[in-house]
Amino acid sequence: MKTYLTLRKRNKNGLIIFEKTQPSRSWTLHFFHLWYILLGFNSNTLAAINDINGAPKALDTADSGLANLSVRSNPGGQLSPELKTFADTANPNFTRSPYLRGEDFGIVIGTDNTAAAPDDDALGVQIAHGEAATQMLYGGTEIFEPVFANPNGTMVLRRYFTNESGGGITVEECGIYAPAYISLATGSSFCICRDVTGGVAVADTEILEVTYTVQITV
Amino acid sequence: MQPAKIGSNQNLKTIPKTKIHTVLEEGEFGAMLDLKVWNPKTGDISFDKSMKSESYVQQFMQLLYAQFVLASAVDDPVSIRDTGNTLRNVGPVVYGLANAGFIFDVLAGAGVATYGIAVGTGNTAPVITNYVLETPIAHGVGAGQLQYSAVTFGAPSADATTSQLTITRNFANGSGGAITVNEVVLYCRAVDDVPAARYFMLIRDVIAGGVAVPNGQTLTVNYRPQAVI
Repeated sequence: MKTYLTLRKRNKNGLIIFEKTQPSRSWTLHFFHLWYILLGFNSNTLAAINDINGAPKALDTADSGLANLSVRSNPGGQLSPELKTFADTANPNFTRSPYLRGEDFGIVIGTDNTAAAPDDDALGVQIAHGEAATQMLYGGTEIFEPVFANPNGTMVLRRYFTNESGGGITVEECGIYAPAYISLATGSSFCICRDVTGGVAVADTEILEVTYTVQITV
Repeated sequence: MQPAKIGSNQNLKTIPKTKIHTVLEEGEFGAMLDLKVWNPKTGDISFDKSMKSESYVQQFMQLLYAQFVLASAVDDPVSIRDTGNTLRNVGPVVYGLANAGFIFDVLAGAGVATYGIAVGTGNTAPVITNYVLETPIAHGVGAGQLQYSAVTFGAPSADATTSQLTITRNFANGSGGAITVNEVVLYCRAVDDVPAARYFMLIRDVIAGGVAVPNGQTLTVNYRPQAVI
């Protein structure tokens, strides 16, 4: 399976003014940590692993652990109703949630250009969601249903970031944060992918579209 | 007669103990497939091969998608073909059922051939739409059968460039005759909208030339999903 990272920049009128695609190199160890819980459901256990804030967290191995890797996110600033728990049979609508905000998971961007490593816990410096200086507005993370044409299968993850900060911002790194559950009512985010971009300058009012294209080939 | 000269290659490098063996390329997410045939009485190894697994198939990506979007098996399921060639509505959210929404479970017990690593004798090259072993080898001690052990795991780990976890299963041959294994698969168990457990193929590999497992010997199979920076 190979993954490609596409960075596409648009002006405020939506016209594409920059585009580049590079191999994504950096599914991290935490992808395997979160998947490991799913592969050995209700049995596999892990020592605590660091979340995106560097805090060690022991992951739930059942129930809420089933939501690991659910990276489709709301826009920045919005609490996510999608992160639900499963074992609360008294509340079948499952509205309880750890309430991660949209910018805490899905595709994320930052300004650090340190080379990626398997044990990266987070972006070097994440760009915050917002319109203040050095901030960008996070859209939601979209995930498109896979398409197949032997020998290939392709799945696309995409997110838009709008610069309304009043100044230019250079995006040096991209990644994917994924939620995982600590308990039924507590979740946290973990870095499952990180890439350095070589630097993409996003001027005020410009929009950056970040796409991860995941491809399997038999 | 000249005495033999014994020298050393100064360019040889020591491989750190923690170095993970891989043949994957930079940036690749894949798996290594390790095959070993050994005699449980003596420990002697008669076959030992490590190769790149070629074939994550369609269901793997569909299940990953279902997990990424946290699909509901009832409300917005992903339709995925199971090992019985039936499309099933799958997603990790199954309302009202504690411990029910698993979709990647490979942790099969001893004697269970419906999920975890499984083996067969088919040798048709994989295609992305494969959903079942071409010719399964059943669990048992009858002619043409192998005894499936429980699936075990090696926890995730990483070296400077490679992350991996390990899924292992043993297949003991007590059939009375030799059996040649030509295909290896990884099946998982997932819950559909019924809800009922269904089974899906994640990976299929065909082994060129096959692996002969003599009577009384055991085949150990490791799948090591990996990602290389």
